[in-house]
Amino acid sequence: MNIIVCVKQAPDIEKSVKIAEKIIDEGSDFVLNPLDEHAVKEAVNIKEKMGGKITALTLGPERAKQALLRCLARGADEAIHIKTDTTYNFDSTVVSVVLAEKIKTLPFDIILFGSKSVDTNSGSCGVQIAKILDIPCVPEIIKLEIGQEKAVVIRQMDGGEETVECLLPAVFTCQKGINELGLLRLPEILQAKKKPLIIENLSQNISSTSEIISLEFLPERKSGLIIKGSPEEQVNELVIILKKQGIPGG
Amino acid sequence: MEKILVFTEIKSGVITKLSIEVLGKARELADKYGKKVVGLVLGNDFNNFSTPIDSLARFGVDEFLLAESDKFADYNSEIYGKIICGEIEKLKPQIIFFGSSKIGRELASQISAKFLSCCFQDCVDVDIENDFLKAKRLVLAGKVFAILKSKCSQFQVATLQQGIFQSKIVEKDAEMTRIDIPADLTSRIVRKEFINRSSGQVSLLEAKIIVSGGRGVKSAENFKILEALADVLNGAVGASRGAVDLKLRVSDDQVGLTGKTVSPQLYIACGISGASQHLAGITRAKFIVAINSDNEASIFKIADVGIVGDLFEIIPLLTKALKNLKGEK
Ligand SMILES: Cc1cc2nc3c(=O)[nH]c(=O)nc-3n(C[C@H](O)[C@H](O)[C@H](O)COP(=O)(O)OP(=O)(O)OC[C@H]3O[C@@H](n4cnc5c(N)ncnc54)[C@H](O)[C@@H]3O)c2cc1C
Ligand SMILES: Nc1ncnc2c1ncn2[C@@H]1O[C@H](COP(=O)(O)O)[C@@H](O)[C@H]1O
Repeated sequence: MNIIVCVKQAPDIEKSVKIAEKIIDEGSDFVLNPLDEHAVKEAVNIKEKMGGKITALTLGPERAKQALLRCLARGADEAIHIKTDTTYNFDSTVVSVVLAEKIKTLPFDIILFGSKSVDTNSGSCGVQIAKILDIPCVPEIIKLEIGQEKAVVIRQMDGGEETVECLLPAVFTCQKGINELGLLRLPEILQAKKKPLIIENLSQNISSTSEIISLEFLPERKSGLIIKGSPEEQVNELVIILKKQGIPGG
Repeated sequence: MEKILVFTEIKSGVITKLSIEVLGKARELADKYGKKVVGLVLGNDFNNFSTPIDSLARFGVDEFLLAESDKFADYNSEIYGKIICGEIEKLKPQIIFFGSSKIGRELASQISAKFLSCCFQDCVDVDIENDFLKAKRLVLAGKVFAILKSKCSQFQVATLQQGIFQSKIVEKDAEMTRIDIPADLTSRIVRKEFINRSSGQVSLLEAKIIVSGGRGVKSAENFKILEALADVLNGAVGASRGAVDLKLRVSDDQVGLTGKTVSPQLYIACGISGASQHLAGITRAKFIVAINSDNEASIFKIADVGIVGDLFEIIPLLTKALKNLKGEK
């Protein structure tokens, strides 16, 4: 099985994200997009059962190499870094076109994605790339079983879970719950640095499909009032506060 | 006249509320900028719909395209995508709207890739500026609003978030046109099973008040006390990933980064620690109340009001107090 995992380096949302006008400030902390890490883990699970090779692929700036190293530590065999600036960061369609062009030059049976990246919050790339490559896609999967020619997967839908059978090659995007990540061990981290990491420069100039007009933080939340007292007193005070807000209504 | 195409979603023979909202927004933009709204609906056996298909006519659409086939009984992304792409090629709409359901989001991505256009997901506002779509949406784990503008002159795609846009009922009936369905509709994806896991309550996306429970609620049974509180408040019950992981609630109820992004007037978090991935789903809540036994829980850092206490004591007392209050009115 040739497995490609598309991964993105994204801001660490557990830390404070900074913005420089219309882009994410480079002073922010960046990590491998959490759901993409689950996608890599899923690739490793498939490889353990079926054998094969895992290639991690990213389009991103210099720093994105760190995300690839994490994939290699998680068990990817090689990594490809298509270097670019951050112009296309919020333009899923352009990102998908570039990645699809590269994927066309590689052998693949399965292409895995995270179900969405924390910065764009779009969840578009996997579905888009499948369409460009004209292969089937099942997004937001929480279970994957690979056979020789097809896969049986469970995807999250509104109001339930759908089990489908899907012919390979195919794209799957991984949703939270698909697998559990163990802690990375030092030898794995060290070994990652010895694995092949291919760097290419994005040569084509692609016209954007959209532009950012503005990025604006929502008003910051601060800790408010902590109600003290016995449970009865606490509840009474809360009810007074809620009443002022018109709750409960009629 | 340039066209706005709206994919209209049908669920168990009923047009979804979200779709009616999207049609309403499309109508508003069409009136403002002199465009035509075309609805597209895929379904099976229109004659046996729970709402007569004619009722679609009044939701603000100029023309409705009806695609009927037993192939559309269950959702299939490849078959639906093929029909929609085919119609788009014929109509050449300037803008294509979907509701931001899982189906809508998937189809929107597919269509944008086919026509290499922009794809704005989960918009909370949309407008048109010199024929280019402008969209407002949450990015960066709900911390930031992005305003984006399309650079494509055609096939601009967006999905609209539920519970934000106003539906419209108009006097004029839409023209109903049946479209031809290609005979060779096959898919590489086949549904084997659909397990219904909806809690059947008011949608979290529409609820003005949400009572949400986390791992601290401890059992599915215990969620009854949250339901009782939600009942008095006419609200809905949400959950953290922690609660979903423990199978206390279905994933449809999950709020957060990998669940729903909600925007109620009041969000009551009970036994939820306040992990950043949970907070990503509630950044637009107007007022947040937290009930947690650990005074150091992160949820208190963002809550407007916090009660350090045992939720099993506090919630029943709160429910009772609010019930009494309602009784007085
Ligand atoms: C990629 C990724 C995506 C994720 N997406 C989401 C998401 O969409 N939504 C989400 O919620 N999480 C998400 N998570 C998980 C998140 O990181 C947390 O693990 C999760 O939110 C914790 O759930 P919790 O607060 O219910 O549980 P815990 O963190 O275990 O908190 C339980 C709380 O209950 C309190 N408590 C216990 N007993 C009582 C009592 N009797 N009375 C009052 N309080 C009590 C405790 O003090 C504690 O604070 C995601 C994580 C990752 C890595
Ligand atoms: N620049 C990128 N390079 C490689 N993969 C990406 C990139 N951007 C997005 N992806 C993949 O596409 C998924 C969805 O991204 P998005 O559509 O931006 O939410 C991510 O979880 C990644 O798996």
